[in-house]
Amino acid sequence: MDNPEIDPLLARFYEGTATEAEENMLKAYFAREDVPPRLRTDQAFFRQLARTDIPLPEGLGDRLETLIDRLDSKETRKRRHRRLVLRRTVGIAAMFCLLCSATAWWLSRPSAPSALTPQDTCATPEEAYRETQKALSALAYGLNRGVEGMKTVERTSEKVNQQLMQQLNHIKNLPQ
Amino acid sequence: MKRFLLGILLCLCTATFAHAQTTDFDRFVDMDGVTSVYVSKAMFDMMTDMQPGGLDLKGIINKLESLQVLSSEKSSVIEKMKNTARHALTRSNGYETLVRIHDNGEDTDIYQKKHSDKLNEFIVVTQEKKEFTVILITGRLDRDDLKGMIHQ
Repeated sequence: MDNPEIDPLLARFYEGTATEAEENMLKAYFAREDVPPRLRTDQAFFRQLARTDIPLPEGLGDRLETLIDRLDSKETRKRRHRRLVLRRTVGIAAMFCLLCSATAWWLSRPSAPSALTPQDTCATPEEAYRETQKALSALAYGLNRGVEGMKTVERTSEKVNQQLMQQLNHIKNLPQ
Repeated sequence: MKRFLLGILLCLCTATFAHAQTTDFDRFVDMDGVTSVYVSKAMFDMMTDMQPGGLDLKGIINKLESLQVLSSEKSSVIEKMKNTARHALTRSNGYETLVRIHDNGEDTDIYQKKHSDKLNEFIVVTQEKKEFTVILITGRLDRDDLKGMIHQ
């Protein structure tokens, strides 16, 4: 039987603006057998909606469980990997900061006199002056001896040159 | 990561080791049987107006950086010092022999090493009958300063 109120109700249902009472009215109407042929499709839909004994496919529960476990483990692995990467990055950054701090401390510390860094042994400038005079005198003496040696070499070379010239002149003056 | 840390550790050790080395003769400074004299730049700066007599150091004092004298009469130490001199004062280490003197049982060798910034190092090694002496003079002495000392 065609009911003129059904069409507007249907329109509101499909728009999602129908109330619960209106939905129930539609369900009750489409539960009847005398629904006009033009509304048969809607009737099949509402009958499906009204069904409470829809059979589940076999093993669906187990398959859903497996899928959920798989998705969960993927999510856990991702989270674990992200945590590991973060931990390593923070570790490297911390080590770098530690090294920089240690280097800065090492470079900024005042250089303390060590056993290998000589310290002044003279108590007064006068004593230091006398030691300096002695040391530089030894240097001057040695260099002086070296210079004297050079002068001896020069004198000897001159003598040798003179004798050589004498011999050459003597040879030149020999009768041919 | 381990290799990176090991590399950093090695660099720090090398830097420390390099920082500690000054001259080859520094190890004799506190040695038993060695008489050691050291005059630093700061002490030279306090001497600029002094003229007690003897070798005139006016004009030279302010050019000196450091002076170190090491001498010993102990035969075992003398041997070590001789070995150090033999290995350190070579051409490959930048040392040039200026003078070698052998006179009445006394040997004197004078070496020079030129550093950057006109810094010169003179080392006088003297072997007497019972004593061995090493004198290390560092400063910016030029030829005229040496001539002035020689002619005094």
